[in-house]
Amino acid sequence: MVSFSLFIIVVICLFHLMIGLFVLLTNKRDRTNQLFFAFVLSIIGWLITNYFSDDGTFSHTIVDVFNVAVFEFPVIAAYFVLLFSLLFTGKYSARAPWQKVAIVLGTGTMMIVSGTKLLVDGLLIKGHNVYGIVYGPATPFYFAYLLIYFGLVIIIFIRALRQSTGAKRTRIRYILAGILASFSVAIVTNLLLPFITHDFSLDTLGPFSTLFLVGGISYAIVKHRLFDIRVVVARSVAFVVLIAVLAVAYGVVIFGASVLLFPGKQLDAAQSVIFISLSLLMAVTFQSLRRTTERLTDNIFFRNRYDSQDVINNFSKILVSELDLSRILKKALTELCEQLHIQFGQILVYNNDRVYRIEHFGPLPQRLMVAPELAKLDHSMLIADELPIGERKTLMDQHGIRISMALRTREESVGYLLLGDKLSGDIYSNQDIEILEIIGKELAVAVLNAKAYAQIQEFNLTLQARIDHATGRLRVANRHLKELDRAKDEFISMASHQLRTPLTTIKGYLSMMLEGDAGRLTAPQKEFVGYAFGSSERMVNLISDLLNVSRLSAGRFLIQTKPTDMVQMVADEVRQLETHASGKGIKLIFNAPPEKLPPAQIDENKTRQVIMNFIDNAIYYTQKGEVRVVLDQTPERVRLEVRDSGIGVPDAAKRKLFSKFFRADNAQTVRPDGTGLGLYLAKRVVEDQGGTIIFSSTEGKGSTFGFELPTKPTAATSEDKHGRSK
Amino acid sequence: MAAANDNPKEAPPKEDADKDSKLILIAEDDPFISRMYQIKLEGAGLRVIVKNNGRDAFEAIRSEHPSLALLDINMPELSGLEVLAALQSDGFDFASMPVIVLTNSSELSDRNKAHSYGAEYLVKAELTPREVLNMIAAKLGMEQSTP
Repeated sequence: MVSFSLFIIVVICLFHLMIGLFVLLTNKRDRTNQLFFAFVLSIIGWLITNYFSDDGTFSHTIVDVFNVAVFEFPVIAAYFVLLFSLLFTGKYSARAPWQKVAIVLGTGTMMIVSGTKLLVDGLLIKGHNVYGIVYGPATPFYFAYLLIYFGLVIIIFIRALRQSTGAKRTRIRYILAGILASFSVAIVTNLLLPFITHDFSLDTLGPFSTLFLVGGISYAIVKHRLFDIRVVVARSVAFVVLIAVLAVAYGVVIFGASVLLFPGKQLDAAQSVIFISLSLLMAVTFQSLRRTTERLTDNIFFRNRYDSQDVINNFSKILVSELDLSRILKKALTELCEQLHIQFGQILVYNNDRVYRIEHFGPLPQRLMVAPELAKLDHSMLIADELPIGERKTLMDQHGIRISMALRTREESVGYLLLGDKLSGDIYSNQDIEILEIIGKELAVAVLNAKAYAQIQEFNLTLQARIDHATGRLRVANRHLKELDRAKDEFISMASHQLRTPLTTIKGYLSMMLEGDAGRLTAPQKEFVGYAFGSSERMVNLISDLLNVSRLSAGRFLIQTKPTDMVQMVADEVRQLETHASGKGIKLIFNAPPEKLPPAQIDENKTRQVIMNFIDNAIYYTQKGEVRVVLDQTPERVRLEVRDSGIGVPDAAKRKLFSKFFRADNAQTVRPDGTGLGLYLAKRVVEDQGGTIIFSSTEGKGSTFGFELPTKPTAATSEDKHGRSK
Repeated sequence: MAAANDNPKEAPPKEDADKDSKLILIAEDDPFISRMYQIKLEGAGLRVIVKNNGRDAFEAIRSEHPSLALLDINMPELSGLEVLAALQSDGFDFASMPVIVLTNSSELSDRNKAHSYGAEYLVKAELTPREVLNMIAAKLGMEQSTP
């Protein structure tokens, strides 16, 4: 059965080598990984030398070398595994320098000692079989060395097991279990039993013991992210184990079959090698096709290599370029899940402790987390694989969530980012987690800003709605007011007409009496009828004023311009009022411009009314002195001023002087029957023709009223007014 | 505005009152007003016919050929403006007869319409009968001088 045990050794060695290489290649620069690889190599060395040390077919020198090496490798292995345990558990740097020196010195001393006759004094050889060893005096020290070193390893891992939590604890547990199992088996079979009984028949069990250790480590790799090994590697480890198992099984079947079919006829070495090779080939090819296709798909679909900086940059760009909350959430989540190859993700945004927005990526979860559940996950980052068994881990597992991040800024909690499995089924790598930590902070700030922006938008909408509502009501009120205004105008128009008809008769017949159409009147008759006539006149004028005001407010004030000789017009008005002025003992003076002027394009009738009004007022409100009318005209403008030395306008009244129905107190006293419409209408007439009113006054000293009019119609005057009147 | 003058400056032509005097049509539904103008105009030596509705006024203008017409606007049957419209569609020559629209309604649209027929537009209440007479005299005087 020499060949069979060789086959077993080869498989085990290959298995060890692969595991060691995977670990090393995962992170070549990490000393922990390097030490693990060295440890695995020294175990392989021990396995090989242990196998050949029993074989006496080699020359004596080679047999001697093997038998020295078989003791040297455990020394080295013990050294590497001790350093590994210290580094892995993070205790190496805490050790005092003398301790580190002692470890090196101990190993060095023991290596030297193992190479001398002090340990292996001689070999017991029978034929081609080395069946025993003559132990030298240093043997107890050798045992002590191994016990101390491996003992330390076990103690270190036990301590670490107590101090660690979560996934790390699980990993250490498996490593520890592997170490304990393999150490105890190897020490019993390969050290204690041979030493005590001098029986080496069981030392072939030693190699199997290392399977416990490597098996434990493999399990930790596959299930618990030991050494941060990616899934392809983890899966490969599983394949290696499978192949090894298959190869052993096939080998056993082949050997069993050959023994049964050809009893008494042992297979020779060449045949054995062929069978072993075939069984290995079968085992390998059985899986190779599947493995190749799986590798291919891995490379195409689950390629989760990415550039952290790129992902972060893209992510920042999204956060900066968007302000709308829903779009930010959608884009950010999509980018994150696509770049990191995550099956599904969720962002929940909170507002006042209630879920405000939810965004999904990938398949929808069967059930959403509710607020009390989420409250349990209120940590900056929770990774389900690393959580100790408990409420939170169960909760996350139930929802298929591998990572939960509470998004928060310094001031407030914003929501949660929940991520499911990776598409590859892989666990989240350190790179993923680092990126998530960076992105999580940025996302929290961006979400907070977007939320504020969204709330402002919503507020704007309600505000707009309120404004629209208020405007609508105002519009209705305005329409109602316009209707009322029109009704008022119609009423005034009708009332005026109805008042004017009897007034026409009263005024007409009174005028005829005065004119002698009813015979000669006595002086008192003439006087009294004259009063009645004057009052009827005033009433007619009052009605005209009222109508004009009503028309003005309805926008129906019509300006009709025609070429007018201003000098002629002003002279007419002055002549008409001269009697009135001289009757009061006031001088009425007209300062006409020296040369003849071209006609001005103005509304003659209305402007005449204005001029008359100014002069009439000036005479009324002046007790003594003069009223001077000054006319001045340029080709563009005509300027008229009526200056008096009358009572003037009090400062308080100046501002409202041109308002409808307004009358200054002192004017009220002098002329109680005034309507307060004259100046208001004057201002409208002047301004509707594109002109400006001139007014200045000092109370008690006198006033100046006047206007400046453009002599040619402007766009703002006649045409415009025509258009509006129709 | 202008006070009633005691002494009329311009006396209307009083000679040849009967044979060659002008005929004035007054269309006015208010008898007090029509009578008032009638007295004043006849006193000035003019002949007057009074009609108290638009239809009669229209017929009178066609049959009597007055020298001038005073038309009220608000009248039964036809308004003063409708009379003008009817005359126009009848092919009436407005240049042969000056028209003064005398009304107490001061709608701007009415005024514009009156102007479009070449008619004068005046507010009754703002004028004394003498002022109306003076205006008629002026119109007729101009008419007389031009042909």
